[in-house]
Amino acid sequence: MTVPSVDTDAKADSPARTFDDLANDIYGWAYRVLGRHHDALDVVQDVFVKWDRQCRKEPPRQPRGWLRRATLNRSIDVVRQRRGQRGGDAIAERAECVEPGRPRLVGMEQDELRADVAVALDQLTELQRAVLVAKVYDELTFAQIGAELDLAVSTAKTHYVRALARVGERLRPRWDQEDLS
Amino acid sequence: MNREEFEQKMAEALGGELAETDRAAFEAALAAHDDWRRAYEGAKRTLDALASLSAPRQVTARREGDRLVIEPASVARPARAGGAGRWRIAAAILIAFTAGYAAHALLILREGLVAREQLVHVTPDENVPKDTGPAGYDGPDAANDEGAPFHSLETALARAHARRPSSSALAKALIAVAPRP
Repeated sequence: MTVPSVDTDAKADSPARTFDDLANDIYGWAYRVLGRHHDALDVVQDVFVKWDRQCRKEPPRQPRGWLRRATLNRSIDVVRQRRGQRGGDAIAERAECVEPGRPRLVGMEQDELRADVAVALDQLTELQRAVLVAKVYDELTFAQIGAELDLAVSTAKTHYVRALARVGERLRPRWDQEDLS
Repeated sequence: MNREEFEQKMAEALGGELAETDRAAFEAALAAHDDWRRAYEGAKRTLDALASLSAPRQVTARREGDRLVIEPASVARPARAGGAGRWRIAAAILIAFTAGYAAHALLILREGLVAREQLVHVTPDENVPKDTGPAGYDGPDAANDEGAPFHSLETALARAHARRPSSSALAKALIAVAPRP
């Protein structure tokens, strides 16, 4: 995938390098929400443009935290667009492609679960989303999350617990069905 | 322990950061409050669901001029148990070629020896009736009709040709190029 060119003069060199270094993480955050390679790449592209604009104005003090939040927000926008286009709940989405080597049913279950998680993430606040992803997928400590997101450690913990509770509410019908069967 | 304190400890427990000194108090709180225990178990189940989602592939970012290119990372493949297989195949091919060339060389050498042997055998034999050479042959020795044997290679080939014309292409060739007086 090729991302639109940006001015990479000496002034912007450091932010550009920062983005390159975190590109894998950015892609990973987007993929966790969207579950589709090309959608995730599109999000990387959008975030790259946003990052470039931001760095021209004022480079973020915590690049990784800023990029995580921007990526999750953009990914949620894509989830909303998908839901709007399909005119229904994300849970009704079906897998468009199943990863090679995965049984079809498992692939569909994964995509349905991911769609549920995406809807749940949409219902969280921006900080709850960022804390949840940082903790669950980036495996940061609460102290690291607090430092990255400019939060008190206790606040990071509170966001984490609340985020888990809200995502759990969204997944509860699925669990009830599983428990019955 | 009040609800707020419990949430902090629950975040630590779910995030793998609960101190051993706090574990007993936390477990006692879970045992004492059914709703807290349900909240904790629900959060654990949510975490399991989030962890079960397939992980994104690894990507790398690189610059091409002033453009950013995102590509799947080339994963270094671990050496397989039969990693030497490729070398074994290459060695087998090499040996096969060498053996083929050697066999061919031996065959050529053997054919050469056989031909020489034949030439030795067709040299003067007093019992052989006078040979005036093949019909139409008027090479340098063809004029010798005194009963003297033919001693030259050309003569020997000519005799071989006379005996078995169908298998004496070389003799034909030699006859064709033989200088005429």
